[in-house]
Amino acid sequence: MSDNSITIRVWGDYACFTRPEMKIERVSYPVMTPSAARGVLEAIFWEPEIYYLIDSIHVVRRGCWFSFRRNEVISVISIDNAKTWMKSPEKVSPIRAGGGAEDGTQRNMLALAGVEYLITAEVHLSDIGKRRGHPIKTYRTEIERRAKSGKCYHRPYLGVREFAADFDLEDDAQAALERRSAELDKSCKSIWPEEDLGLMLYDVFDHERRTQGFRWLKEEEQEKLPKKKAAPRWEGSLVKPEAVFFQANIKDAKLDCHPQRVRLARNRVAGE
Amino acid sequence: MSDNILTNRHDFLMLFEVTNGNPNGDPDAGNMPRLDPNSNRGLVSDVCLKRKVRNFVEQFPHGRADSDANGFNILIKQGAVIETEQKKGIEAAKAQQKDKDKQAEAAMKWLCREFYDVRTFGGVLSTGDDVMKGSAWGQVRGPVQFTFGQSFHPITPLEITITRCAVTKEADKAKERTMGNKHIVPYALYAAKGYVSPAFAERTGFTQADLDLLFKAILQMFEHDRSAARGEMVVRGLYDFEHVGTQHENNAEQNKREARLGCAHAHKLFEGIKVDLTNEAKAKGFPESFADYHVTCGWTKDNLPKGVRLHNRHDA
Repeated sequence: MSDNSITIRVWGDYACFTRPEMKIERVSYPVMTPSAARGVLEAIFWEPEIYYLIDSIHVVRRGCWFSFRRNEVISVISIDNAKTWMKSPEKVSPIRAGGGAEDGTQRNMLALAGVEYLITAEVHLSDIGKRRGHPIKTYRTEIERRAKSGKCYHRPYLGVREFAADFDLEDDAQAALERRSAELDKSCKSIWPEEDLGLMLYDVFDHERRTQGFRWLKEEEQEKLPKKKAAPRWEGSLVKPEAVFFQANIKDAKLDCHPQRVRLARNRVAGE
Repeated sequence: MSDNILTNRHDFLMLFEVTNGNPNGDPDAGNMPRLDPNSNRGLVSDVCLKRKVRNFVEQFPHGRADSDANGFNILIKQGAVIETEQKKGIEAAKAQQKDKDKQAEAAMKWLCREFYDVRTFGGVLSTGDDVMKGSAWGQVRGPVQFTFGQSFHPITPLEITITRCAVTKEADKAKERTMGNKHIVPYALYAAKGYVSPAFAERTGFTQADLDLLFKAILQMFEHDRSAARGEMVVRGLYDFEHVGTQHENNAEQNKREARLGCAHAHKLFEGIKVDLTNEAKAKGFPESFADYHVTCGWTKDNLPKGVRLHNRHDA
């Protein structure tokens, strides 16, 4: 085990890792995506000084498919409207949800029920973290402490917020997989022997740009900046969301997703 | 005191029952009660429960303390809204933001201050800003998260045929009566979980008073939602685990930091509430009423994890 590696077990009653190609009526990938795994870790602990690279995801319980149709809201709250409402509240027009209402619609969701995963990730110092100068161990022990005692910045979830997740720290992914599969009366070999899942979303925030870190400046720091209009209100790099995909393969219940070992499909600007 | 932003993490468990009613119809199955086909256990969606909370707050609006305090309007309303009713008590923003950069932020803050549901459950905003488009910035993440409600045991939905004395179609006028049908669950006890994350409460301005109102709304959500279709629905338990911090009370600063992140695993806390069938009900094989259940709380003052307090909100 390298000294910046952590393994966290997450599980929940339901999960939906939405495929971007079918986002109107949500359809889940058959397994947790690396970006969803990153979201879980960041819910437990994140600081601008670090970033996570997901190494692999082990599947303890695959879950079964189930579909669900709900009344959803299609309208979003427009900031421009809100700016008008702030000045003249009598112009407020609420969003009308529910069956038959103009802003409501019924949407289906194809999700997974009863899933459990082991997320193995590397913790790296971002450029902000390198400037700060604490060793990586400081952050890793804090993550471990939180995961072990159930502390989290906000409740982690499996794809969407209504599918809340529980979590716990594990020392070693393979050992945990063997232990859990024995508890579930299965052999860990039979959980998911091998499957090619095709192209899968890797992340929408480029991991190579996340290395710089990102944080909003505090008010007092902003005041110290020269009063120029273009002065940014953040430090590091504001990563513009852009989808990156990878060839996903499951072997022996493991989805390998370390960016150095998988083939990424991404937009490259010539000369970069 | 109650105007203070919420600082402690809460994990809560809601127990509710239905007798001869349909708690949440499934549009995919002709409005049959929702059920998980893998386990035959009944389901109630998160949005169904959130709708009940919204309706309760709308029906019994809280007076706001002053024009700067949080308002209790609801932005996402059910069905058609009567225009004249909706705009009571919404306050204009006092200070107008001149800095263009900060206008969107001010609008977001104003929405959170005026609308209880935005402040509690969050919402999606359209920013129109190129850099921010598609990023998490366009989202207000609410501090309160509801999960699906699940019944403890498989349910057996029944289809009941009824005679309607009022015909719905002009063509049936001569018949005077037509047949209709509805679906009921004879009896089921459901559990749903909720989580409150203080980190998001800071951003939306969700206060302790807002949380108290949420619990009040949950406890009474079915009382004001009666309908023939829903049968009898009752909230049987609302176990609220509040994380307060493990340190000595003199160490307030450290406690505050701990209370925000929580002091114990939520799943372990929930496991302490045990719901079992009584022996008679086990022999019978299925529950017929709440009397067929044993709900025991395994937590006492002594064995509750340090830094956690349990409030039985249903007793209050």
